[in-house]
Amino acid sequence: MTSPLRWLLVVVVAAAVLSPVLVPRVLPAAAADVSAPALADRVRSSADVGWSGQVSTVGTLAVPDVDSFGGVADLLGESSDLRVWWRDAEHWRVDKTSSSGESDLARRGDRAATWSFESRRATTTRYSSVRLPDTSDVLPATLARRMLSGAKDADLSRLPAKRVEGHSSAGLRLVPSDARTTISRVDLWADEKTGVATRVEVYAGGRLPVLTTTAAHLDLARPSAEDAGFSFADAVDVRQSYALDDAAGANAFAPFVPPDRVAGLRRTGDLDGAVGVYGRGTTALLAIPLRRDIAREAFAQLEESPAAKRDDDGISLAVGPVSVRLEGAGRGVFLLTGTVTPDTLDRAGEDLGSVRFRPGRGESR
Amino acid sequence: MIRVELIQMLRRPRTWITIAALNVLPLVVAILLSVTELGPRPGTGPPFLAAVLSDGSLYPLAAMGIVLPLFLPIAVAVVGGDAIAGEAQTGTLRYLLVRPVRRGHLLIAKLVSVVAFVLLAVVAVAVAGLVEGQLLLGRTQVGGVVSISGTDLDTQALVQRSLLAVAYVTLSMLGVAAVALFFSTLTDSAIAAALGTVGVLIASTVLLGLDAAESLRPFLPTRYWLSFVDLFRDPIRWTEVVRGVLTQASYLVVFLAAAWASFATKDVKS
Repeated sequence: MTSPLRWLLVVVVAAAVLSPVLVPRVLPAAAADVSAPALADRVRSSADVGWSGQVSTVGTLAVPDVDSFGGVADLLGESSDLRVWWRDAEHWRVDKTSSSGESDLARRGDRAATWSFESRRATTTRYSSVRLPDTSDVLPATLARRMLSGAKDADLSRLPAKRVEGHSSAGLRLVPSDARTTISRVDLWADEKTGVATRVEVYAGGRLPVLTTTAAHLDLARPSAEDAGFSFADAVDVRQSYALDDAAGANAFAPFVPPDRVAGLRRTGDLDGAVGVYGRGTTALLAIPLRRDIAREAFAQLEESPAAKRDDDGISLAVGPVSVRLEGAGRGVFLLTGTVTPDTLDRAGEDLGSVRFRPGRGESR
Repeated sequence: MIRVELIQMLRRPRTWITIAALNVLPLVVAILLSVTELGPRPGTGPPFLAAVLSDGSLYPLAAMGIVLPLFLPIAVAVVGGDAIAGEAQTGTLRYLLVRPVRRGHLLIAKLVSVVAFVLLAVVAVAVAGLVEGQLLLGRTQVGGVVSISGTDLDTQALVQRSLLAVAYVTLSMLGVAAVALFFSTLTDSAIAAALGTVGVLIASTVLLGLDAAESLRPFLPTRYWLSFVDLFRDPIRWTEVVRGVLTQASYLVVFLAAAWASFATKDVKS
């Protein structure tokens, strides 16, 4: 065999080795003829569709590392690798994996469990729908449902179908018409039949997305209860936590009744709690009451950011599409944050002045 | 021929000095952890290192995690780079090929010798880690070993998964060995072949940390090296482990073929 023939054989071998990886990537996606509103409906109603797989997220926002934000800075500012077992909206498990360990979050009905391998800390607590964003919120399926919540049909259009990690997915674009939102558009792809989103890209005016989340190794079979549940080893010291996070704790125990409407946005979510959740979809904000000592810390931490703006009533900061404001209201201090413009957040802060005090609840806080 | 190469590898003092050197850092780390009881912060440091203070039985895995990203591949690059180029450099390659042996068979024998060295080195690191973990670090807690996912890991499962991890780490070096062997056929300088291999690995590591190179990641040789950690999750994350094995097998096949194409027509002068 001559030398050129030998090298030709090497090229053929290399092509044969690469083809199982490359071919699925270049195969055309199945054409989808569903309309944009119909596809959006399927995505919105996919909460109880079971699936499992891996999710990678890339966030580019430099959210200030304020203690009150929990892990939000990591979620929106870093890359994450997640393993997901999703049985339905109330039974799922999301593991944030790394080469040095993993941090797990699982929900089983009204109970939630967390686990951190590196700190060997396990907790169980009552699940709360009012809480800070966590790993379950950046899954393509969850994020797509949230973004499309309340979206008008006129804001939707179809994108060409494409293969996302080998999975043929129908494309959808949302361009919010609400002037109060900071999100300029959301591009998403979803399994056409089930509506389970495989990739979501969130844009805030720039050419590149500020948050991208992609599902890989997607299996659209309902995972077993064992895989999606949590069972700790005997050697693990499992502690009961009073709340899922600071926002959930404030919602349950803080002595406030937020107003029904701020900045023209209607209150949604848990109407009995002390945390105000306003708006939906791309135009949403949270008003979280803070204890005085935590508020002081948060103020100091926000003040460290060069982009922070201080005024008579509080301090504001805008990080990409996320606006943050710390404002005194009534007898409390509220942390306002959301994907709304700073002006909208200012108006929300003013409207929070009508917050009512709820005597007898959490007065020791 | 394979037997001859294996015996030669085992008789070389360099083999044992390299293996001993590989074990120095895990030993130093174990001593430091034992004395200071200061583990790395959560999310930082090599795999399992944060957990070994409370459970020394995991130290063999931590020790592998310490040597895997840098020291082990460098050792493999040196040994693999020396395989053909070393013979050429010392003037023995011509005499080696005087014997009635096919060049392809010689390449396979050299590769087997390198793989045997890797296996020996990984087992030595794991066994030394086991001893260091028992003597210097925390005892297993009552209730047994805890998996990365917080579930029980009984002794049988721990042993099985540790053996799988040793096999996986050894397999992870196959690609490095094949690349080193290929470079070794291109030059008469063993050090140049080793440096070329290390250059490939550094490039892979740099691209791995670059978001712009996302589409290249599945093809990078270092991409799945630390996936042996996935064997200790519950359930085991096989997807990354299988991809890691397939990636190494691909590098092995392609670069072994390239080494054969290069070596078969090489004009041996020394």
